[in-house]
Amino acid sequence: MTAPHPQSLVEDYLARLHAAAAGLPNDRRAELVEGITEHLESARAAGAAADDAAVRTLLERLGDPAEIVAAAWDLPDPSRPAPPARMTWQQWKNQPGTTLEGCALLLMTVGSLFLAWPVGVWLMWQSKKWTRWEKALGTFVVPGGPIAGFYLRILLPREHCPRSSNLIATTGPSPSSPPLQCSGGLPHWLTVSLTLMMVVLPLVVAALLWYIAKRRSRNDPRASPYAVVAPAAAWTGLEIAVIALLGPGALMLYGIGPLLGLMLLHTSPQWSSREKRRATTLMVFTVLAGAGFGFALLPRLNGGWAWTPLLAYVLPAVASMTAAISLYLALKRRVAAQSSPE
Amino acid sequence: MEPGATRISQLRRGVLEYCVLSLLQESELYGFDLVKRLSDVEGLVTSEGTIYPLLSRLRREGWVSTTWAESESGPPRRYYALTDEGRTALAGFTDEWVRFRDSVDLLLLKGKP
Repeated sequence: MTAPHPQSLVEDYLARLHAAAAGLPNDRRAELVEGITEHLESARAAGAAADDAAVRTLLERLGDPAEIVAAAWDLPDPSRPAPPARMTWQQWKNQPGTTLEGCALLLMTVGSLFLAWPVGVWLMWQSKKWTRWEKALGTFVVPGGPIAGFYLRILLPREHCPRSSNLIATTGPSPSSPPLQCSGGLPHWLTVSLTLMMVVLPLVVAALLWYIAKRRSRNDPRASPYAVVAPAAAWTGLEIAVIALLGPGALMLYGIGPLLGLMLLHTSPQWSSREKRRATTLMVFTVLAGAGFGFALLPRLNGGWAWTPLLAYVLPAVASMTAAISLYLALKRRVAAQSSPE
Repeated sequence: MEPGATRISQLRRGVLEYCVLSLLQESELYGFDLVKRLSDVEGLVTSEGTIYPLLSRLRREGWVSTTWAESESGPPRRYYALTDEGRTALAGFTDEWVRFRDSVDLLLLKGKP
């Protein structure tokens, strides 16, 4: 018989806890399992679960699952006083549901049509169900909300196509007048795809934030977008989708594919935070560097706009596919290492 | 088990939640950190896991509130913070406890050096 893997010790413990807690009300059971799971994950991050012996000590100190659940039963539900007829802002903000979060997201999406986006963002930062990183995501993708795309459309320099009618009016038709030529500004296709992205992205982010808030208000660790303890290394639909969106998706679904892929990547328990950060940084850096380089240099180069496809399409796609390949190899290696006999 | 041990464990259970509140007085803490600090105090916690149901109850009672924050490594963590109601409850208990402890000491340790 081989010694059990530390990971399987933890999984076994959590399974026993889950079973022992079966009788507790749903939300209390979920909160308990989530707490213990996070405890184990924190211990691992602190290096207190490096080997078998350490994991055993850790679990021993936590105590028998049955004992923990018994303690949960011993604690009666607090006798809550009836909620006052008029809640203070503090009480309303801290109530367990997702009213605040729903209002914030509505204002940030639909409300942006009526310029209520800043109010939505302010509400979002009041919420306690999102982390700072998640709130920053909501704020910066995209400032102004979906409506910002339309303003961008107005503000962006447009291709200037002189109309021959002006010429006709002033000088009359002339066989020597130059052929119609468009000059200056961004090419039409780029303006359209930028506008589209700026409308779609905030909606995607809002949907993700809503999902997170909903799960957290239900204390639902298993359906949480951040699964706390990764099960044994394995490919699930989520990981395959990540690779597909970052790889081929970069070519076929311009902008949206990689962005969705990145978001899904951050919800997968299969990759470490470092791997996730590396992939994200690579892609964000490439896009920013390409955009900065493009806006600074292209207008000054003669015929510089011809480079736009390289900067706006090819480079980001290459970065995205590089990320996809490195993520694929990392997980493939882990799956292989796990299945090989120790 | 010594005859007095069960009684002490009942007493401990009643007092433990106020120990949690007092740890949260200075700054908010996440579960693992909080549990570690409690365990570092001799004789207060027997099995660390039982602190989580306690935290859950304190939250439902409205004495602590929770927030999520990024961690250096791994997924976001749930942080516990003392609410105003919790602060009031802790202050009330502390007053009572000092009086209670003094009275018990007075009787138990009567005549002892």
